[in-house]
Amino acid sequence: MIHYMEVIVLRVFAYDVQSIHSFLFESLEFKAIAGASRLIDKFDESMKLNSSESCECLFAGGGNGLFIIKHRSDSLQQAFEKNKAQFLFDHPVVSVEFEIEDWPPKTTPFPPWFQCKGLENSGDFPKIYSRVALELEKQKQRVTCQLTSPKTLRNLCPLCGNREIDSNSRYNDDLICEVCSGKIEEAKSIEDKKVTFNLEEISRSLTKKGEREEGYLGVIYGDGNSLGNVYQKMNTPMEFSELSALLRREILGAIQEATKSLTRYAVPLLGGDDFLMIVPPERVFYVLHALEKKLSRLQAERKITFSFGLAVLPTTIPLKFIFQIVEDLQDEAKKANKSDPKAHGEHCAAFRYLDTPFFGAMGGAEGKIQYGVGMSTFQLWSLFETARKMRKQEVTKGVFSKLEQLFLKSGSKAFTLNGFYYLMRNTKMPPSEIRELMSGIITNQNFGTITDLFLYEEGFGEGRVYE
Amino acid sequence: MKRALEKGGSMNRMDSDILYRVKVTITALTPLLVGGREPDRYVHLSSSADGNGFIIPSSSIKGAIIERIKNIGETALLDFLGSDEKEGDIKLSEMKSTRLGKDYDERVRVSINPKTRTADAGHLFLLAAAPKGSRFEGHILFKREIPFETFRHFKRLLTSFPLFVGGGQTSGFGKVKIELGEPEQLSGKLINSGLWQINLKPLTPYTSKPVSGRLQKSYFVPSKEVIEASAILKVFKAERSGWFFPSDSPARRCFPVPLTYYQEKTSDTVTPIDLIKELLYSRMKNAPFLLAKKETGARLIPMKGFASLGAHSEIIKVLPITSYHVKRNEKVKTVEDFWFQASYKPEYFCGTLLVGEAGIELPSFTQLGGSRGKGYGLFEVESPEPYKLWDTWERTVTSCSDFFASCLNPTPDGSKFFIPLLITSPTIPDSSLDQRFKLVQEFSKRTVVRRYLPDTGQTTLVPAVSPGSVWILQPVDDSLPLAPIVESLKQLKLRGIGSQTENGFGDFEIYPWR
Repeated sequence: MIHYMEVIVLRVFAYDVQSIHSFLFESLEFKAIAGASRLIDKFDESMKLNSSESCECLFAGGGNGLFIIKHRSDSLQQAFEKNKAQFLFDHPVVSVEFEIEDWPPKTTPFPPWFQCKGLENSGDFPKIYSRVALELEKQKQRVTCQLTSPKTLRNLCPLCGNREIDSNSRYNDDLICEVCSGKIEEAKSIEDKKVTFNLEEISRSLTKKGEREEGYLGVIYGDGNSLGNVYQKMNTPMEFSELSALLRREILGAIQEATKSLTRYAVPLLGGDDFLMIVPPERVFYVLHALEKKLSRLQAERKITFSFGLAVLPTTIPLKFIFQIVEDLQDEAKKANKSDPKAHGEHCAAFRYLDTPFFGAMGGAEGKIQYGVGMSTFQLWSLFETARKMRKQEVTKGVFSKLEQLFLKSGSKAFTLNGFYYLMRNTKMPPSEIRELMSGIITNQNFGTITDLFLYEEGFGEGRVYE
Repeated sequence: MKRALEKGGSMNRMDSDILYRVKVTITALTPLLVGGREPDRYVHLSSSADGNGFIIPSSSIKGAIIERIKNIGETALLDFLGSDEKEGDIKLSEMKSTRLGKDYDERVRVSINPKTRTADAGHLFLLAAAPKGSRFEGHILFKREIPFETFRHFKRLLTSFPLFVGGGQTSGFGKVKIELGEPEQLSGKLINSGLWQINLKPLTPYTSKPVSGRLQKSYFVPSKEVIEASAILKVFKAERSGWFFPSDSPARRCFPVPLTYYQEKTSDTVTPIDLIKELLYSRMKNAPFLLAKKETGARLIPMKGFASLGAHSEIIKVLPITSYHVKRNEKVKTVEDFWFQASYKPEYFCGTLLVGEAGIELPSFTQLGGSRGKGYGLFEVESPEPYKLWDTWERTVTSCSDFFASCLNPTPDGSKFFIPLLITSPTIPDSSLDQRFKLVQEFSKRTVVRRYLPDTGQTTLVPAVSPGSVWILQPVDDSLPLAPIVESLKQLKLRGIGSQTENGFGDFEIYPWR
C-alpha cells in the first residue's frame, strides 16, 4: 500500500462518467435502464482490478474513480480506454492525470466576497478529492473543442433515438442499436424468479386478476442524508473505503430483507448510497417498514439516516417521469430532514399517490394543498394509520372530497369547526377522534399527504386487493 | 371590416397571417362534463379546469361545432375547421370560465344493465360538473377569407339552437348556448429591420414533440418546454430568430439558467445563487472549495429551469399540463384510441427576431408547434419592442474586467477586457469567432439538437454547446478600447456565433455580471 501521506509530490489519476443520468435514461426501455446501471457498476469493478503497488485505487464506484500513481505507466490509461469501450460504449467519460503540486494539502484563504465554504475544516481526504474534482470539472466543461460532427441517421433506434439500428440487434419485434442491445443483455443477466423488468408483472403480482383496468407501481427511491458531511471529516482514503463498503453492505442487506416476501420486484438503480426499488403497489409501505428496520443499525451506530421518495402511480406514466417524480419526492424528504426539527436525526419520506397520469407541483408549490411534503417516517406512519382508521370508520371518498372542499374554502379555524361537524354527521368516527383529527393531526402542510394516503388506502388497502 | 361584411363583402386578409377575431360567450344551460384536463380525483368524471377555474378546451368546443355542422349536412364548412390530419382556418382559444374557482355540481348516476334492468356492481358513478349557468369566454379566430354570407350562416348554425359539448349528453349534461360577437379585424404590425424582442402570450397550451426513434408508450406524448427557432421562423419571415423561453412577464425575459447558478439543496427558495466569481477564482487559482454556503453551511446544487437575468432574478416555474384526448369511431362513436399529451402554458414565451431590410408584418395572433388541429399552440403576439439589453453591455464588460483585474491577476499579455457570455441557443463555434475573440474560460455542457427531415425520412443529430453554458471571452486585439469591442459583440449578436446560425444556433446574451 502506498503511504500517500509521506509522498512529496502526489500524482493522481481520476475518472468520472459524464452525465450518468443520460447514460441510464437515454433509453426508454426499463430493461435498458437497469442494464445501464449494472454496466456502470461493472466498469468501476473492472477499474478496481488495476490497483497495484505502483498505482493504488483509492476508490471506484458510482461512475467515479481515483488512483494514486507511484510509477508512471500507460497501462492504467490503456485499461481505462478498454473498459470504457467495453462497458460504456460511446458514452463520454473524462479522465485526468496530474500532480498535486501543493502537497501536503493547504487551504486557500478565500477573499471576503467569496460566498462558499473553504476546505479548512475538512479532513485531508476531501482536500485531495476536491482538487481532483476541480480538474475533472474543468475537463468536463471544456465542450467547444470536443464537439463532434453532425450525424445523419436513416433508421433511429426506437429505444434511445440516438443511434442507427443494428441489423443483428433485435428486441421484441424491433431492431435496436448496439448500445441499447448491450444494456438489455446486461439486464437479462440479473433477472431471475423474483427480479423482473416487466412492469406489468410487478404491478399485477399481488392483485386479483381483472381488479383494475390499469396497472400501478410502488416506487421507492432512497438516499443517505448528509453523507457529504460525514465524508468531509475523513483524513484517510481507508476511512472512505470502509464507510462506502459498510453502506453498500447494509443497503444490500436492507433490500434483501425488504424483498423477501415479494414475488416480483426490481432494483433498477443501486449505486453509492442511493437505490431505487420498484415493487407491487400494495407492498410499498411494507417495503418501507422493512428498509427502515434494517437500516436502523446505521442510524444507531453511525447516525446515518435515509430519505425516501415514495410513490404509487400508474404504469402508464413514462419511466422518465416516474423517476423524476420520486427524485422530487426524495428532495422534499431531504428538505424535511434538514429543516424540520421533528425530522432531524430520523429517516424521512415524502409520499404521493397518483391515480391518473396527471401530475403537477410537489410541496412548496403555489396553491393551498401541498402534495408530497417531506416528513419523518415516524410522522408518515402516524398519518398512514389515521387514513386507515378513517376508512374503517366509513369515511368514504365522497366524505373526503367534501373535507377537501372545506379545506380549500375555509380559513383554518373555520375548517376545524366545519370539518368537525361534517364528520360528526356523516361518519361513524367517535367525537374524540374527530376532535383529535381536526385540531391536532390535520395541518395545512400535511393535508395533501393525508389525502393521498386515504385514496391509496381506498385503492390498495387491506382486504381489497390482497389475494 | 365590419362595413365590408355589412355590405355583403368578404373578410379581406392582408396576408396569410392576418386573422379576424370573434368573441365567443358560452353559457351552460345544463351542467357540463367536459373532460380532458386536471380531473377531480374523487369522482369518475369531472369537468376540465386549470389552476383558476373551469375551462372548455378548444378541442372540445371544436368537436361540438364539427358535430353540429355534420348533423346539418353543411360539409363545405368542415374545410374551415380542419381535422386531426389537416390544420383548419378557424382557430379556437380555450374558453375560460368568467368565475374563478371550482364549484362543482356533484351528481351520482347509476348505469342500468339493459338486459337485467338492474344496476351491475361497480356501476355507480360520481360526477362533478361545471354548474348550470356557468359562463365561458374565448375567441374564434379566422385565418381565411370567409364570405360575409358564409360567416352569417356559420353564426346562425351555432347560435340558433343549443350545442352539446362534453360527456353525459344523453343524461342531460353538456347543453350550451353559444353567442358570437361581430368579427373584428386584426391588423398586423409592421416592423423595420433590426433586432426585436417578441412576446408571445399563449391562448392555448403549446406542445412540440421531441424527435425520437419512437416513444416507449405512444399514449403519452411529451413536449419540449421551449419554442425552437425553426418553429418561429416558419411563421415569422425574419432573417434569424433565437429560441423562445417561458417567462412570467413581458418585461422580464427569461433564459435557460446559467450553469454557474446554484441553489440551496434543501430549501424551497427559488432565488439563484450566482457562483461565477467563485468558480473562476477556484479554477484560476487551483483552489477548490465546498459547494456550501459560507454562513449557513447549506449545500448548493446546480440550478435548472429558466430565470430572468435582472437584478433580482427568480426561477420561473414551468409545470407541464397533461391533457387526454380520445379518438372516436365516426360511426359507432366508441373510443378507438386515447392518449395523454404534455404541453406548456406559461404566462409568456419571449425571444428575439432579427428582421431584414425589407421589414416584416407581425400578425396579432399566430399558431406554433404540434397538434395545431386540436387547437394547441395558439398565441397572441404582443407589440414588439426593439432589443435593448445591449445598452447595458459596456457597463457589464467593465465590471467583469474589473473583477479579473482586482481578484484574479490575469496574465498581463492579453487584453484587459473580459466578456462574460451566456449561451442562449445551441452553439457550434467555428473559426469566425476566433478572428475577434478568444475563449479563455468555459463552463459548457453538451447538447444534441435533433431535426427530422421529412423529405428524406432521415434525422440529423447535431452536437452543440447547450443553452445555459457560460463563456468568458477576450478580444484578440489587446489594444482595442471598449467601444469597438462592444460594437463587435453587437455584430456577433446579430450574426450569431459559429455555424447553423440561420437555424437559430449561436444566440447569446451578456452574462448578468453583478
